Amino acid sequence: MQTLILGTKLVDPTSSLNGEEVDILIDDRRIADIQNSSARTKFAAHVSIAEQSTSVNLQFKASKVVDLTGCLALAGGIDLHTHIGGGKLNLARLLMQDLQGNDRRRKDGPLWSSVETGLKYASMGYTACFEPAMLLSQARATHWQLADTPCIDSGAYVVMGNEEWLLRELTKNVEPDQLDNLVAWTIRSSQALAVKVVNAGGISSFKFNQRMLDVDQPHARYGTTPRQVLHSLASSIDRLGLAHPLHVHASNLGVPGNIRSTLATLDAAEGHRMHLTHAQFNAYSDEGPMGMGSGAVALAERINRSPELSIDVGQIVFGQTVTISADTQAQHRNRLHAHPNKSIISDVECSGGCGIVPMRYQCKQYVSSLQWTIGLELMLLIKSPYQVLLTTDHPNGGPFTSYPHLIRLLMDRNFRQAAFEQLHPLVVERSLLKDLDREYTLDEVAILTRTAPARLLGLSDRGQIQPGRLADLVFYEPKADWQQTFTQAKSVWKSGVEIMRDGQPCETVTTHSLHATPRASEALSESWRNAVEQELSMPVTMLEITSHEFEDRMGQLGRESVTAVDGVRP
Amino acid sequence: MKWPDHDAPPACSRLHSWLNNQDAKPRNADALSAESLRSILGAATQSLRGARRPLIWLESTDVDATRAAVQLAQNIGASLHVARSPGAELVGNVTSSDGWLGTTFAEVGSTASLIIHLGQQHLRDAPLFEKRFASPSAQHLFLDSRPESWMNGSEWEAASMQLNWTRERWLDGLTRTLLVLRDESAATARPAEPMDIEAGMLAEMLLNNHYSVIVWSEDELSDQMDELIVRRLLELARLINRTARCSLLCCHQDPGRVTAKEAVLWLTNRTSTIQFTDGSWKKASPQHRSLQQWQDSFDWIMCIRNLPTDRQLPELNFNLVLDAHCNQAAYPSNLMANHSDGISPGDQESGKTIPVRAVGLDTSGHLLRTDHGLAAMAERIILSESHYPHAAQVMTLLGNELCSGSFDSTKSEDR
Repeated sequence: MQTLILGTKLVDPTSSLNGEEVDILIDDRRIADIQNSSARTKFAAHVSIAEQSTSVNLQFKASKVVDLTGCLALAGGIDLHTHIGGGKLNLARLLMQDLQGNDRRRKDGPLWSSVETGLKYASMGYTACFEPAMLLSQARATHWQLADTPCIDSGAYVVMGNEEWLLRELTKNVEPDQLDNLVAWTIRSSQALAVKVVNAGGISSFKFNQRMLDVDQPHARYGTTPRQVLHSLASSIDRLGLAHPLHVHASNLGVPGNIRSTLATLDAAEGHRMHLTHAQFNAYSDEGPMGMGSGAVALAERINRSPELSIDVGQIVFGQTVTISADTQAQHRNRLHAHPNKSIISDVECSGGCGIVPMRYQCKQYVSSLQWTIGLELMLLIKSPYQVLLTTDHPNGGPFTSYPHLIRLLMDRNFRQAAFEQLHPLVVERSLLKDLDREYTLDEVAILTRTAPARLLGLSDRGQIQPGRLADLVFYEPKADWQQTFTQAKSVWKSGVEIMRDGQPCETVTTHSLHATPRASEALSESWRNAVEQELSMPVTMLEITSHEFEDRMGQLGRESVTAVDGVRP
Repeated sequence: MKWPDHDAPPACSRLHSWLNNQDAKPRNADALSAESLRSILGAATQSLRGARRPLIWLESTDVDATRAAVQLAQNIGASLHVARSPGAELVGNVTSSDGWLGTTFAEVGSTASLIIHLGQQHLRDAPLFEKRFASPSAQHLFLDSRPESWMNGSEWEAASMQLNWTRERWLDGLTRTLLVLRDESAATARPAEPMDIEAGMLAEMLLNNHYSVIVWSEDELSDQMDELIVRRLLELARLINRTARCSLLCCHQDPGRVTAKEAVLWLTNRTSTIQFTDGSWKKASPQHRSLQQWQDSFDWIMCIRNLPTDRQLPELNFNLVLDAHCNQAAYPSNLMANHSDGISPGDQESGKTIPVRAVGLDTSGHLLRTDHGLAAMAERIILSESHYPHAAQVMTLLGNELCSGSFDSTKSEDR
């Protein structure tokens, strides 16, 4: 079936028609054609839009015509780092039962059911979201949970870098092909899209009572350093040809002065690609009041001169939220700041952890104010929107529903300055944010919320409005300000089907579970198998989600399993 | 009547040895006739149509049955309740109000240097725990007596010790240990008793081990007063974690209940008992003083158990029961092996019970392990066409029956 969407203003800086009023033809699931609307008015200028539709309909032979004149047309939004699946999220739900909906600043949240999560994302115009911290042992539960999240395609990054079997072997100078064998098996077995390292070696070292693990500090039991882990995995990811670079949650998260270990973490890549996630939480200097200041300038400079590096920001938003992380070492420190005063810390199956700490960010509090400015400083100081992505690390910095507010902060300097002046006076006095005049353009917003995450994840079928791409399209009605504009899309299309109109669900559509197929496809070597089975006391087959099982299961849940391998590297 | 496979991967290759090990008896394979099913569903639909406050009770279910139940409850405006033992409820309440310090089976086996056992029930509930995870290279401390198999020259004897604290003295002993750890024992101004010395020893062991785990069965601590013990344990673990590591592991007995709780949490963002009203899931029903009073607040109750367990169903006046139908109740050995004598067909009230496939026995299913550590697929281990439908299929049929008939959703006062 062909559908023609009329009269929208194209917002896609990668298109030659960017900024023009266009008609978009959808054929089945994909965009078939895009034409300047003037072609239509040329032969039908004197007639009404309905008659024009008829004319164009004849021209394109579309079976359905949708008039969205005056709307902005963007590709479906992509959130490459949002905690929306897995066992840790359920623990957070349990911990937050008595707080749901109690925050006066927000009507609800910061957590929702999987169904509500999908609907809220779609309502804002997002059509693909990625869970960044899936433990191998939790992979099934994570995928089934993601599959219960409607309207959006999804995938997950498997957590590595703290497995006892890996840390032990790394001290023996493991051969590259051996390491690739383990990494490829881990990705395949968990049906992951990418690999994430969380506090390399630090989660494991916490079990041996190390409270911090700096980049060159040896693990108390194995002697491995985070630098070794990071370099080994970043190079393996490149050898295996994975589209998404190693996704790194750096050491010493939240610690004043951690900018040094963050820069050392990036250095550990030694030229390999690396994506530093929720960078704001790792961009603190130890200078300033209370021994904590902004390290945004140093980090931005590093990113600006290294095209192989990228970050997502992890912006905080004021109000009550809950932080969720596999980084038990950091979360055990953070429990001291818990609001309300409770937390869950758990070690999981010799390969990761789970730390849940409720948090209330307050604009009159020094540290929260500082964190708020650091996130925005990073967004404004990093020049290329392909290298810095907008995230709140949902729900860690705040809920994803605050994206429209954050977009306005980036696009509207006056609005930003008004908010800035409400912060803690020491932050207002010292932050360079007041001197940053940059305002994001609409094109840049389209890049950092669509094109850039698609490229970084190797999803060449989306993130742009071009013939041949998936018809994941969003149409926004321009309103009084950018926050209002982006809060609720006028119309959202997923794979060529209108799934949402004015915030109300329309048709349902088959969504996709995206996963990667690494180049190395051999079975797990016997030595690795023995090592894993010895630690876990169970056969590795228990962990493995075969392609057959995954496809069958996704089919049962009304999904399709899609391999995403054709990465376009930034 | 034959039912299409709901979810049927190849049979487990260890089927025969597993069955031999479990001494399985032949199953009662009375087919479920289409007439019986229609008749029971028809009666259930009829009574449900007149119901004003229906309830769906999840006794023990896999992911698919739980999903179907949530969907059905949402469609008909029923309340949804996930069964849990008093011990599991107690841990859930403490976690929700204060948090938790947890760990999983593999961490116990691989990382723990000291394992403190509260009772022995967990060794009986999960027989593979001892074999797979309770390594003799770790120190084991039983707060009361050791199992006999751990003495008399066994490999465990040297690795294990006991404090001879009877169960009634646990709270006292743990409180004294806390005082020692806080360095407040001297402030109590009472002469030291033998228990203080043992508490001091326990505190020292906890401080000197790099990773301690305190493990118990959910049924071990299940009285209301036991909440104090659980809170003490959490407090103790928190205190130890300032300088060393200590985690808690409450072993749940039933993966079906763990799975139902988890799936309901992600599907509704709530723990039970809940109801779908005004477009979202909310906590249902205020507190009731007794089970009877609570039951009386519902006028139609359906129970679902597609994971066989040896528990009797609660004494509620069920209008419809979907129950795993087998003599030899069992679920897969590749989780934490567990088995029981199962429920006998005689226990089931005729005309109200629809037999459904037993997860792990004649259908695969997705379950979470009882330490929440591993979401696993329970493989189908009997390769034969089943005479029974999956619980999810029955709920779909029930939903369709209601939709196609003259079901009046406005009748329900809370829908």
